[in-house]
Amino acid sequence: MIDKNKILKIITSSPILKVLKETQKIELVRFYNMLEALLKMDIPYGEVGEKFVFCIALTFGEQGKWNIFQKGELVRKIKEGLLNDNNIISINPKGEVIKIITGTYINDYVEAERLSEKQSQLVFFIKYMEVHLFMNGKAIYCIPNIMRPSRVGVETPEILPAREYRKLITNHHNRHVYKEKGSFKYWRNKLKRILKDKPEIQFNKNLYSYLDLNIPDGHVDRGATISGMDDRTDIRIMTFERGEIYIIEIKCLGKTDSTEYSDDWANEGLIQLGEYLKDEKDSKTGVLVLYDGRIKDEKINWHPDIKWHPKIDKDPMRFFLESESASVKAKKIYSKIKKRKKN
Amino acid sequence: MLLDNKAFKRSNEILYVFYSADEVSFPFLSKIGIQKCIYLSEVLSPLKEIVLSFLNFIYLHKGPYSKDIQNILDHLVSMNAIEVDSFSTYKKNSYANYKITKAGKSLVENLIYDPMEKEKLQWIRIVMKLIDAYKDAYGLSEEYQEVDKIIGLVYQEPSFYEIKQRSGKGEFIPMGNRNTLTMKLIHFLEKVEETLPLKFDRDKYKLDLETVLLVFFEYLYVEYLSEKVRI
Repeated sequence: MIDKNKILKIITSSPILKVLKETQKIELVRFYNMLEALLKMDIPYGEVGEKFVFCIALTFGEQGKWNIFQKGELVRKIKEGLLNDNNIISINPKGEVIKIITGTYINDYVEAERLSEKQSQLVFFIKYMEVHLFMNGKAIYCIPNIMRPSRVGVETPEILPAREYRKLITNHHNRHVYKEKGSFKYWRNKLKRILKDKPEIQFNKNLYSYLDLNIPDGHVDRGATISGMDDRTDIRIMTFERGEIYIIEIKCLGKTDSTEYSDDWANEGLIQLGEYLKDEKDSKTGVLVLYDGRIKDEKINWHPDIKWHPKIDKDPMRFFLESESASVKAKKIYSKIKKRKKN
Repeated sequence: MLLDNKAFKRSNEILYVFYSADEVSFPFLSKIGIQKCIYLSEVLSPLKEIVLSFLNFIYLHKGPYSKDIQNILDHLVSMNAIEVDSFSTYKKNSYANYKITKAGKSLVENLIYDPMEKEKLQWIRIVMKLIDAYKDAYGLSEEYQEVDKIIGLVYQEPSFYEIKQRSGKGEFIPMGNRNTLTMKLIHFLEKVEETLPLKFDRDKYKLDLETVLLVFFEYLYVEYLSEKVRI
Protein backbone atom coordinates (compact mmCIF):
# COMPACT_ATOMS: atom_id res chain seq x y z
CA MET A 1 0.00 0.00 0.00
CA ILE A 2 1.15 3.50 -0.76
CA ASP A 3 0.72 5.97 2.05
CA LYS A 4 -0.82 8.91 0.17
CA ASN A 5 -0.86 11.17 3.21
CA LYS A 6 2.86 10.64 3.58
CA ILE A 7 3.42 11.78 0.01
CA LEU A 8 1.16 14.80 0.43
CA LYS A 9 3.01 15.65 3.60
CA ILE A 10 6.36 15.47 1.80
CA ILE A 11 5.08 17.64 -1.03
CA THR A 12 3.48 20.31 1.12
CA SER A 13 5.92 20.49 4.03
CA SER A 14 9.33 19.19 3.08
CA PRO A 15 11.77 22.12 3.22
CA ILE A 16 13.70 20.90 0.22
CA LEU A 17 10.59 20.92 -1.91
CA LYS A 18 9.63 24.37 -0.74
CA VAL A 19 12.84 25.89 -2.01
CA LEU A 20 13.42 24.05 -5.24
CA LYS A 21 14.50 26.33 -8.05
CA GLU A 22 13.69 25.52 -11.63
CA THR A 23 17.12 24.39 -12.73
CA GLN A 24 19.03 23.21 -9.71
CA LYS A 25 16.58 20.92 -7.99
CA ILE A 26 18.69 17.80 -7.65
CA GLU A 27 21.79 19.79 -6.62
CA LEU A 28 19.79 21.44 -3.86
CA VAL A 29 18.45 18.16 -2.56
CA ARG A 30 21.94 16.69 -2.59
CA PHE A 31 23.23 19.67 -0.65
CA TYR A 32 20.44 19.43 1.92
CA ASN A 33 20.98 15.69 2.38
CA MET A 34 24.70 16.13 2.85
CA LEU A 35 24.29 19.04 5.26
CA GLU A 36 21.82 17.09 7.35
CA ALA A 37 24.16 14.09 7.46
CA LEU A 38 27.11 16.33 8.38
CA LEU A 39 25.23 17.99 11.25
CA LYS A 40 23.82 14.73 12.52
CA MET A 41 26.93 12.61 12.32
CA ASP A 42 30.16 14.54 12.14
CA ILE A 43 29.94 17.37 14.66
CA PRO A 44 31.31 16.82 18.18
CA TYR A 45 28.86 19.29 19.72
CA GLY A 46 30.38 18.92 23.16
CA GLU A 47 33.76 20.07 21.85
CA VAL A 48 32.71 22.89 19.50
CA GLY A 49 29.92 24.13 21.81
CA GLU A 50 29.29 27.88 21.73
CA LYS A 51 31.53 28.39 18.72
CA PHE A 52 29.17 26.44 16.51
CA VAL A 53 27.16 29.42 15.22
CA PHE A 54 27.24 30.28 11.56
CA CYS A 55 25.28 31.11 8.45
CA ILE A 56 25.49 29.42 5.10
CA ALA A 57 24.59 31.55 2.10
CA LEU A 58 24.13 29.19 -0.82
CA THR A 59 25.64 30.53 -4.02
CA PHE A 60 25.39 28.90 -7.41
CA GLY A 61 27.94 28.79 -10.16
CA GLU A 62 31.22 29.60 -8.45
CA GLN A 63 33.99 27.23 -7.43
CA GLY A 64 35.27 27.04 -3.88
CA LYS A 65 38.52 26.50 -2.05
CA TRP A 66 37.69 23.91 0.59
CA ASN A 67 34.70 21.68 1.17
CA ILE A 68 32.60 21.61 4.34
CA PHE A 69 31.56 18.04 3.52
CA GLN A 70 35.13 16.77 3.59
CA LYS A 71 35.33 14.73 6.78
CA GLY A 72 36.37 16.78 9.80
CA GLU A 73 37.16 19.90 7.75
CA LEU A 74 34.42 22.21 9.08
CA VAL A 75 35.10 21.30 12.69
CA ARG A 76 38.82 21.81 12.21
CA LYS A 77 38.29 25.26 10.69
CA ILE A 78 35.92 26.27 13.50
CA LYS A 79 38.37 25.09 16.15
CA GLU A 80 41.07 27.14 14.45
CA GLY A 81 38.80 30.17 14.93
CA LEU A 82 37.97 30.75 11.27
CA LEU A 83 34.42 31.79 12.13
CA ASN A 84 35.15 33.72 15.33
CA ASP A 85 34.71 37.21 13.87
CA ASN A 86 32.85 36.65 10.63
CA ASN A 87 30.48 33.74 10.42
CA ILE A 88 28.72 33.93 7.06
CA ILE A 89 30.04 31.32 4.67
CA SER A 90 29.24 31.63 1.01
CA ILE A 91 29.26 28.13 -0.43
CA ASN A 92 28.14 26.36 -3.58
CA PRO A 93 25.82 23.32 -3.63
CA LYS A 94 28.82 20.98 -3.73
CA GLY A 95 29.76 22.32 -0.30
CA GLU A 96 32.80 24.21 -1.56
CA VAL A 97 33.51 27.39 0.40
CA ILE A 98 33.72 30.33 -2.01
CA LYS A 99 34.44 32.93 0.67
CA ILE A 100 33.81 34.02 4.23
CA ILE A 101 31.82 37.24 4.10
CA THR A 102 33.65 39.81 6.19
CA GLY A 103 32.26 42.57 8.38
CA THR A 104 29.21 40.72 9.67
CA TYR A 105 28.53 38.30 12.48
CA ILE A 106 25.12 36.66 12.70
CA ASN A 107 24.08 35.93 16.28
CA ASP A 108 20.53 34.70 15.92
CA TYR A 109 17.95 33.60 13.42
CA VAL A 110 16.28 37.02 13.25
CA GLU A 111 19.50 38.46 11.83
CA ALA A 112 19.79 35.46 9.51
CA GLU A 113 16.28 36.10 8.23
CA ARG A 114 17.28 39.68 7.40
CA LEU A 115 20.43 38.47 5.70
CA SER A 116 18.40 36.17 3.45
CA GLU A 117 16.19 39.13 2.49
CA LYS A 118 19.22 41.22 1.57
CA GLN A 119 21.00 38.45 -0.27
CA SER A 120 17.86 37.10 -1.99
CA GLN A 121 19.13 33.63 -1.60
CA LEU A 122 18.93 30.50 0.42
CA VAL A 123 20.35 30.96 3.88
CA PHE A 124 20.89 28.34 6.56
CA PHE A 125 21.45 29.53 10.11
CA ILE A 126 23.03 26.95 12.38
CA LYS A 127 23.37 27.48 16.10
CA TYR A 128 24.56 24.48 18.03
CA MET A 129 21.93 21.81 17.21
CA GLU A 130 19.35 24.29 15.92
CA VAL A 131 18.90 24.78 12.17
CA HIS A 132 16.86 27.46 10.38
CA LEU A 133 16.29 27.79 6.68
CA PHE A 134 15.32 31.07 4.99
CA MET A 135 14.73 32.18 1.44
CA ASN A 136 14.24 35.76 0.29
CA GLY A 137 13.65 36.91 3.85
CA LYS A 138 11.05 34.24 4.54
CA ALA A 139 11.41 31.52 7.15
CA ILE A 140 11.06 28.19 5.36
CA TYR A 141 11.84 25.64 8.02
CA CYS A 142 13.18 25.31 11.52
CA ILE A 143 14.68 22.26 13.19
CA PRO A 144 14.92 22.90 16.95
CA ASN A 145 17.26 19.97 17.44
CA ILE A 146 19.00 18.31 14.52
CA MET A 147 19.79 15.24 16.62
CA ARG A 148 16.11 14.38 16.80
CA PRO A 149 14.18 12.99 13.80
CA SER A 150 13.75 15.97 11.50
CA ARG A 151 12.72 14.59 8.12
CA VAL A 152 9.17 15.41 7.09
CA GLY A 153 7.11 12.24 6.67
CA VAL A 154 9.14 9.94 8.92
CA GLU A 155 6.91 7.99 11.30
CA THR A 156 8.23 8.81 14.74
CA PRO A 157 6.57 7.54 17.93
CA GLU A 158 5.29 11.09 18.49
CA ILE A 159 3.18 11.53 15.36
CA LEU A 160 -0.55 11.98 15.86
CA PRO A 161 -3.40 13.02 13.57
CA ALA A 162 -4.55 16.66 13.53
CA ARG A 163 -7.67 15.89 15.56
CA GLU A 164 -5.34 15.02 18.46
CA TYR A 165 -4.10 18.60 18.57
CA ARG A 166 -4.41 18.80 22.37
CA LYS A 167 -2.10 15.83 22.88
CA LEU A 168 0.31 17.22 20.29
CA ILE A 169 0.46 20.64 21.95
CA THR A 170 0.94 19.01 25.35
CA ASN A 171 3.68 16.73 24.02
CA HIS A 172 5.43 19.75 22.53
CA HIS A 173 5.29 21.50 25.88
CA ASN A 174 6.61 18.50 27.78
CA ARG A 175 9.44 17.91 25.37
CA HIS A 176 10.53 21.38 24.32
CA VAL A 177 9.07 24.03 26.61
CA TYR A 178 8.94 22.62 30.13
CA LYS A 179 11.88 24.01 32.11
CA GLU A 180 13.59 25.00 28.84
CA LYS A 181 14.38 21.33 28.38
CA GLY A 182 15.09 21.55 24.67
CA SER A 183 17.24 24.01 22.81
CA PHE A 184 14.41 26.58 23.02
CA LYS A 185 15.28 29.20 25.70
CA TYR A 186 12.64 31.78 26.54
CA TRP A 187 13.74 33.26 29.90
CA ARG A 188 15.87 36.38 29.93
CA ASN A 189 15.99 36.36 33.72
CA LYS A 190 14.69 33.21 35.31
CA LEU A 191 14.98 34.43 38.88
CA LYS A 192 12.86 37.53 38.22
CA ARG A 193 10.67 35.66 35.73
CA ILE A 194 11.41 38.03 32.86
CA LEU A 195 10.88 36.60 29.41
CA LYS A 196 12.93 37.33 26.31
CA ASP A 197 11.57 39.88 23.85
CA LYS A 198 8.69 38.97 21.55
CA PRO A 199 8.06 35.68 23.33
CA GLU A 200 4.95 34.80 21.32
CA ILE A 201 6.91 34.68 18.09
CA GLN A 202 9.37 32.27 19.67
CA PHE A 203 6.65 29.99 21.02
CA ASN A 204 4.81 30.18 17.73
CA LYS A 205 7.85 29.16 15.66
CA ASN A 206 8.77 26.37 18.01
CA LEU A 207 5.28 24.88 18.23
CA TYR A 208 4.80 25.24 14.48
CA SER A 209 7.98 23.24 13.75
CA TYR A 210 6.90 20.53 16.14
CA LEU A 211 3.39 20.24 14.71
CA ASP A 212 4.61 20.35 11.13
CA LEU A 213 6.86 17.41 11.77
CA ASN A 214 4.43 15.40 13.87
CA ILE A 215 1.07 15.80 12.11
CA PRO A 216 0.98 13.28 9.27
CA ASP A 217 -2.50 13.98 7.88
CA GLY A 218 -2.40 17.70 7.24
CA HIS A 219 -0.43 20.72 6.21
CA VAL A 220 0.67 23.05 8.98
CA ASP A 221 1.46 26.68 8.32
CA ARG A 222 2.10 29.94 10.13
CA GLY A 223 0.56 33.29 9.34
CA ALA A 224 -1.99 31.82 6.94
CA THR A 225 -4.70 34.25 5.90
CA ILE A 226 -8.33 33.66 6.72
CA SER A 227 -10.43 33.16 3.54
CA GLY A 228 -10.87 36.50 1.84
CA MET A 229 -9.55 38.52 4.79
CA ASP A 230 -6.28 40.13 5.77
CA ASP A 231 -6.22 38.46 9.19
CA ARG A 232 -3.44 35.97 9.75
CA THR A 233 -3.68 33.02 12.07
CA ASP A 234 -0.79 32.03 14.33
CA ILE A 235 -0.84 28.39 13.31
CA ARG A 236 -3.25 26.68 10.94
CA ILE A 237 -3.59 22.97 10.25
CA MET A 238 -5.42 21.94 7.09
CA THR A 239 -6.15 18.24 6.67
CA PHE A 240 -5.43 16.50 3.37
CA GLU A 241 -8.56 14.42 3.26
CA ARG A 242 -11.33 16.90 3.91
CA GLY A 243 -9.60 20.24 4.07
CA GLU A 244 -10.74 20.71 7.68
CA ILE A 245 -9.03 23.59 9.40
CA TYR A 246 -7.75 23.78 12.96
CA ILE A 247 -6.67 27.19 14.18
CA ILE A 248 -4.23 27.69 17.03
CA GLU A 249 -3.93 31.11 18.65
CA ILE A 250 -0.92 31.61 20.88
CA LYS A 251 -0.66 34.16 23.66
CA CYS A 252 2.19 34.57 26.05
CA LEU A 253 1.53 36.02 29.48
CA GLY A 254 4.09 37.56 31.80
CA LYS A 255 6.76 40.20 31.71
CA THR A 256 9.41 41.14 29.20
CA ASP A 257 11.72 44.17 29.49
CA SER A 258 9.20 46.30 27.66
CA THR A 259 5.75 44.77 28.19
CA GLU A 260 3.60 42.91 30.66
CA TYR A 261 0.62 40.78 29.72
CA SER A 262 -1.95 39.17 31.96
CA ASP A 263 -5.60 38.07 31.92
CA ASP A 264 -6.68 40.82 29.51
CA TRP A 265 -4.27 39.50 26.90
CA ALA A 266 -5.73 36.01 27.23
CA ASN A 267 -9.27 37.41 26.90
CA GLU A 268 -8.26 39.33 23.79
CA GLY A 269 -6.84 36.09 22.38
CA LEU A 270 -10.17 34.41 22.90
CA ILE A 271 -12.04 37.17 21.04
CA GLN A 272 -9.46 37.12 18.24
CA LEU A 273 -9.82 33.37 17.85
CA GLY A 274 -13.62 33.71 17.78
CA GLU A 275 -13.30 36.23 14.93
CA TYR A 276 -11.07 33.88 12.93
CA LEU A 277 -13.50 31.02 13.38
CA LYS A 278 -16.41 33.21 12.36
CA ASP A 279 -14.69 34.11 9.08
CA GLU A 280 -13.12 30.75 8.28
CA LYS A 281 -16.01 28.65 7.04
CA ASP A 282 -14.03 25.41 6.81
CA SER A 283 -12.78 25.61 10.36
CA LYS A 284 -13.28 22.55 12.49
CA THR A 285 -12.13 24.06 15.76
CA GLY A 286 -9.85 26.67 17.29
CA VAL A 287 -7.80 26.48 20.43
CA LEU A 288 -6.18 29.17 22.52
CA VAL A 289 -2.76 28.21 23.83
CA LEU A 290 -1.34 30.26 26.68
CA TYR A 291 2.28 30.15 27.73
CA ASP A 292 2.08 31.62 31.21
CA GLY A 293 5.17 33.38 32.50
CA ARG A 294 3.38 35.36 35.24
CA ILE A 295 4.77 35.29 38.75
CA LYS A 296 2.05 33.06 40.14
CA ASP A 297 0.49 29.97 38.68
CA GLU A 298 -3.09 31.23 38.72
CA LYS A 299 -6.17 30.48 36.66
CA ILE A 300 -7.24 33.00 34.03
CA ASN A 301 -10.21 35.21 34.84
CA TRP A 302 -12.29 34.89 31.72
CA HIS A 303 -14.47 37.94 31.21
CA PRO A 304 -18.08 36.82 31.71
CA ASP A 305 -19.39 38.97 28.84
CA ILE A 306 -17.25 37.34 26.16
CA LYS A 307 -19.25 35.13 23.83
CA TRP A 308 -17.30 31.97 23.17
CA HIS A 309 -17.59 30.98 19.52
CA PRO A 310 -19.23 27.53 19.32
CA LYS A 311 -16.18 26.09 17.55
CA ILE A 312 -13.71 27.29 20.18
CA ASP A 313 -12.20 24.55 22.28
CA LYS A 314 -13.87 25.28 25.60
CA ASP A 315 -10.76 24.40 27.52
CA PRO A 316 -7.94 26.78 26.53
CA MET A 317 -4.57 25.20 27.11
CA ARG A 318 -2.48 27.04 29.68
CA PHE A 319 1.09 26.04 30.37
CA PHE A 320 2.71 27.66 33.37
CA LEU A 321 6.35 28.33 32.55
CA GLU A 322 8.50 26.81 35.26
CA SER A 323 11.53 28.81 36.28
CA GLU A 324 12.56 27.05 39.45
CA SER A 325 14.82 24.08 39.73
CA ALA A 326 13.37 20.95 41.32
CA SER A 327 15.36 21.47 44.53
CA VAL A 328 14.16 25.08 45.05
CA LYS A 329 10.60 24.05 44.28
CA ALA A 330 10.85 21.11 46.72
CA LYS A 331 12.09 23.42 49.47
CA LYS A 332 9.14 25.76 49.01
CA ILE A 333 6.59 22.96 48.95
CA TYR A 334 8.08 21.37 52.03
CA SER A 335 8.11 24.60 54.01
CA LYS A 336 4.41 25.11 53.10
CA ILE A 337 3.64 21.60 54.35
CA LYS A 338 5.46 22.30 57.62
CA LYS A 339 3.61 25.60 58.07
CA ARG A 340 0.26 23.90 57.54
CA LYS A 341 1.12 21.29 60.13
CA LYS A 342 2.03 23.92 62.76
CA ASN A 343 -1.24 25.75 62.16
CA MET B 1 26.76 0.86 -35.54
CA LEU B 2 23.64 0.00 -33.59
CA LEU B 3 22.38 -3.51 -33.70
CA ASP B 4 18.77 -4.27 -33.04
CA ASN B 5 19.70 -6.92 -30.62
CA LYS B 6 18.54 -7.06 -27.03
CA ALA B 7 21.95 -8.02 -25.70
CA PHE B 8 23.56 -5.07 -27.42
CA LYS B 9 20.87 -2.71 -26.23
CA ARG B 10 21.40 -3.90 -22.68
CA SER B 11 25.15 -3.44 -23.05
CA ASN B 12 24.56 0.11 -24.23
CA GLU B 13 22.30 0.89 -21.29
CA ILE B 14 24.78 -0.47 -18.79
CA LEU B 15 27.46 1.59 -20.43
CA TYR B 16 25.26 4.70 -20.05
CA VAL B 17 25.04 3.98 -16.34
CA PHE B 18 28.84 3.88 -16.10
CA TYR B 19 29.14 7.00 -18.23
CA SER B 20 26.68 8.91 -16.00
CA ALA B 21 28.39 7.55 -12.88
CA ASP B 22 31.63 9.01 -14.16
CA GLU B 23 29.92 12.37 -14.79
CA VAL B 24 28.73 12.60 -11.18
CA SER B 25 32.21 11.56 -10.01
CA PHE B 26 31.43 8.13 -8.59
CA PRO B 27 34.85 6.49 -8.34
CA PHE B 28 33.37 3.12 -9.33
CA LEU B 29 30.24 1.00 -9.42
CA SER B 30 30.21 -2.36 -7.69
CA LYS B 31 28.40 -5.36 -9.07
CA ILE B 32 25.76 -4.76 -6.36
CA GLY B 33 25.50 -1.04 -7.08
CA ILE B 34 25.08 -1.50 -10.83
CA GLN B 35 22.14 -3.86 -10.25
CA LYS B 36 20.41 -1.21 -8.14
CA CYS B 37 21.11 1.65 -10.57
CA ILE B 38 19.74 -0.33 -13.50
CA TYR B 39 16.75 -1.45 -11.47
CA LEU B 40 15.78 2.13 -10.56
CA SER B 41 16.34 3.36 -14.14
CA GLU B 42 14.17 0.54 -15.42
CA VAL B 43 11.36 0.64 -12.89
CA LEU B 44 10.93 4.40 -13.27
CA SER B 45 11.36 4.54 -17.05
CA PRO B 46 7.63 4.54 -17.94
CA LEU B 47 7.54 7.99 -16.40
CA LYS B 48 9.48 9.27 -19.40
CA GLU B 49 7.94 6.72 -21.73
CA ILE B 50 11.36 5.24 -22.33
CA VAL B 51 11.69 1.53 -22.90
CA LEU B 52 14.80 -0.01 -21.43
CA SER B 53 15.72 -3.58 -22.15
CA PHE B 54 15.85 -5.11 -18.67
CA LEU B 55 12.48 -6.60 -17.95
CA ASN B 56 13.58 -9.60 -15.99
CA PHE B 57 14.45 -8.60 -12.46
CA ILE B 58 13.66 -11.15 -9.80
CA TYR B 59 13.67 -10.99 -6.02
CA LEU B 60 16.84 -12.84 -5.10
CA HIS B 61 18.62 -12.98 -1.72
CA LYS B 62 17.67 -9.55 -0.35
CA GLY B 63 17.05 -7.42 -3.40
CA PRO B 64 16.11 -7.13 -7.07
CA TYR B 65 18.52 -8.98 -9.31
CA SER B 66 18.94 -9.47 -13.02
CA LYS B 67 21.21 -12.33 -14.02
CA ASP B 68 21.89 -10.77 -17.42
CA ILE B 69 23.74 -7.88 -15.86
CA GLN B 70 26.74 -9.87 -14.65
CA ASN B 71 27.16 -11.51 -18.07
CA ILE B 72 27.07 -8.11 -19.75
CA LEU B 73 29.60 -6.70 -17.28
CA ASP B 74 31.99 -9.50 -18.22
CA HIS B 75 31.31 -8.81 -21.88
CA LEU B 76 31.98 -5.07 -21.44
CA VAL B 77 35.23 -5.82 -19.61
CA SER B 78 36.35 -8.09 -22.44
CA MET B 79 35.56 -5.26 -24.86
CA ASN B 80 37.64 -2.86 -22.74
CA ALA B 81 34.61 -0.55 -22.38
CA ILE B 82 34.74 -0.91 -18.59
CA GLU B 83 37.46 -2.22 -16.30
CA VAL B 84 37.79 -3.67 -12.82
CA ASP B 85 38.83 -0.82 -10.54
CA SER B 86 39.06 -2.53 -7.15
CA PHE B 87 37.38 -5.06 -4.87
CA SER B 88 35.07 -4.54 -1.89
CA THR B 89 34.31 -7.04 0.83
CA TYR B 90 30.87 -7.44 2.30
CA LYS B 91 29.98 -10.27 4.71
CA LYS B 92 33.09 -12.27 3.75
CA ASN B 93 32.26 -11.99 0.03
CA SER B 94 34.44 -10.06 -2.31
CA TYR B 95 32.86 -7.96 -5.04
CA ALA B 96 34.45 -6.38 -8.08
CA ASN B 97 34.11 -2.63 -8.59
CA TYR B 98 34.03 -1.39 -12.17
CA LYS B 99 34.54 1.91 -13.92
CA ILE B 100 34.25 3.10 -17.50
CA THR B 101 37.38 3.29 -19.67
CA LYS B 102 38.32 5.96 -22.21
CA ALA B 103 37.27 3.55 -24.94
CA GLY B 104 33.93 3.05 -23.19
CA LYS B 105 33.34 6.80 -23.02
CA SER B 106 34.09 7.28 -26.67
CA LEU B 107 31.75 4.38 -27.48
CA VAL B 108 28.94 6.14 -25.63
CA GLU B 109 29.68 9.41 -27.38
CA ASN B 110 29.23 7.62 -30.69
CA LEU B 111 26.13 5.73 -29.63
CA ILE B 112 24.26 8.88 -28.69
CA TYR B 113 24.27 10.15 -32.25
CA ASP B 114 21.09 8.11 -32.33
CA PRO B 115 18.41 10.32 -30.72
CA MET B 116 16.74 7.37 -29.02
CA GLU B 117 20.00 6.33 -27.42
CA LYS B 118 20.65 9.91 -26.40
CA GLU B 119 17.27 10.02 -24.72
CA LYS B 120 18.09 6.86 -22.81
CA LEU B 121 21.38 8.34 -21.66
CA GLN B 122 19.64 11.51 -20.53
CA TRP B 123 17.15 9.47 -18.56
CA ILE B 124 19.82 7.36 -16.90
CA ARG B 125 21.80 10.53 -16.19
CA ILE B 126 18.86 11.98 -14.19
CA VAL B 127 18.45 8.76 -12.20
CA MET B 128 22.18 8.65 -11.46
CA LYS B 129 22.12 12.27 -10.29
CA LEU B 130 19.27 11.39 -7.95
CA ILE B 131 21.19 8.41 -6.64
CA ASP B 132 24.11 10.75 -6.06
CA ALA B 133 21.80 13.18 -4.23
CA TYR B 134 20.64 10.49 -1.81
CA LYS B 135 23.60 8.17 -1.42
CA ASP B 136 25.12 10.25 1.39
CA ALA B 137 21.84 11.02 3.16
CA TYR B 138 21.83 10.47 6.90
CA GLY B 139 21.14 6.96 8.14
CA LEU B 140 21.75 5.00 4.95
CA SER B 141 23.61 1.82 5.54
CA GLU B 142 27.14 2.44 6.75
CA GLU B 143 28.21 -1.11 6.00
CA TYR B 144 28.15 -0.35 2.30
CA GLN B 145 30.32 2.00 0.29
CA GLU B 146 29.53 4.66 -2.27
CA VAL B 147 26.51 3.91 -4.51
CA ASP B 148 25.86 0.60 -2.73
CA LYS B 149 24.50 2.69 0.16
CA ILE B 150 21.27 3.24 -1.78
CA ILE B 151 20.39 -0.43 -1.32
CA GLY B 152 18.19 0.61 1.60
CA LEU B 153 16.19 2.88 -0.71
CA VAL B 154 15.82 0.27 -3.43
CA TYR B 155 14.34 -2.15 -0.90
CA GLN B 156 11.57 0.39 -0.28
CA GLU B 157 10.66 0.64 -3.96
CA PRO B 158 6.92 -0.23 -3.88
CA SER B 159 6.80 -3.05 -6.48
CA PHE B 160 9.78 -4.78 -4.93
CA TYR B 161 8.63 -4.09 -1.37
CA GLU B 162 5.28 -5.76 -2.04
CA ILE B 163 6.99 -8.97 -3.17
CA LYS B 164 9.45 -8.83 -0.30
CA GLN B 165 6.60 -8.51 2.20
CA ARG B 166 5.10 -11.78 1.06
CA SER B 167 8.56 -13.41 0.89
CA GLY B 168 8.18 -14.08 -2.82
CA LYS B 169 11.78 -15.08 -3.41
CA GLY B 170 12.51 -15.92 -7.04
CA GLU B 171 9.44 -14.01 -8.24
CA PHE B 172 9.68 -11.68 -11.20
CA ILE B 173 9.26 -8.04 -10.28
CA PRO B 174 6.60 -6.54 -12.54
CA MET B 175 7.82 -3.66 -14.66
CA GLY B 176 6.24 -1.22 -17.07
CA ASN B 177 2.77 -2.47 -16.23
CA ARG B 178 0.32 0.27 -15.34
CA ASN B 179 -1.02 -1.74 -12.44
CA THR B 180 2.19 -2.11 -10.51
CA LEU B 181 2.43 -0.30 -7.20
CA THR B 182 5.31 1.76 -8.59
CA MET B 183 3.17 2.96 -11.49
CA LYS B 184 0.28 3.71 -9.16
CA LEU B 185 2.62 5.85 -7.11
CA ILE B 186 3.96 7.60 -10.20
CA HIS B 187 0.48 8.31 -11.55
CA PHE B 188 -0.54 9.62 -8.16
CA LEU B 189 2.43 11.98 -8.18
CA GLU B 190 1.76 13.14 -11.73
CA LYS B 191 -1.63 14.51 -10.70
CA VAL B 192 -1.05 14.90 -7.01
CA GLU B 193 -2.48 18.42 -6.81
CA GLU B 194 -5.90 17.09 -7.83
CA THR B 195 -6.06 14.92 -4.73
CA LEU B 196 -5.80 17.92 -2.42
CA PRO B 197 -8.98 19.61 -1.19
CA LEU B 198 -9.85 22.80 -3.10
CA LYS B 199 -8.84 24.85 -0.10
CA PHE B 200 -5.19 24.15 -0.99
CA ASP B 201 -3.44 26.25 -3.62
CA ARG B 202 -3.37 23.36 -6.09
CA ASP B 203 -1.22 25.11 -8.68
CA LYS B 204 1.55 25.37 -6.13
CA TYR B 205 1.74 21.61 -5.81
CA LYS B 206 1.78 20.65 -9.49
CA LEU B 207 4.95 18.65 -10.04
CA ASP B 208 7.16 18.55 -13.11
CA LEU B 209 8.97 15.37 -14.14
CA GLU B 210 12.14 16.07 -12.17
CA THR B 211 10.17 16.91 -9.04
CA VAL B 212 8.07 13.76 -9.42
CA LEU B 213 11.32 11.81 -9.38
CA LEU B 214 12.61 13.76 -6.40
CA VAL B 215 9.43 13.11 -4.43
CA PHE B 216 9.63 9.45 -5.41
CA PHE B 217 13.17 9.20 -3.99
CA GLU B 218 12.23 11.24 -0.93
CA TYR B 219 9.33 8.85 -0.33
CA LEU B 220 11.69 5.85 -0.50
CA TYR B 221 14.05 7.60 1.91
CA VAL B 222 11.29 8.53 4.35
CA GLU B 223 9.97 4.94 4.26
CA TYR B 224 13.48 3.67 4.91
CA LEU B 225 13.91 5.98 7.93
CA SER B 226 10.42 5.11 9.23
CA GLU B 227 11.25 1.41 9.06
CA LYS B 228 14.41 2.05 11.06
CA VAL B 229 12.39 3.92 13.71
CA ARG B 230 9.89 1.04 13.88
CA ILE B 231 12.69 -1.48 14.36
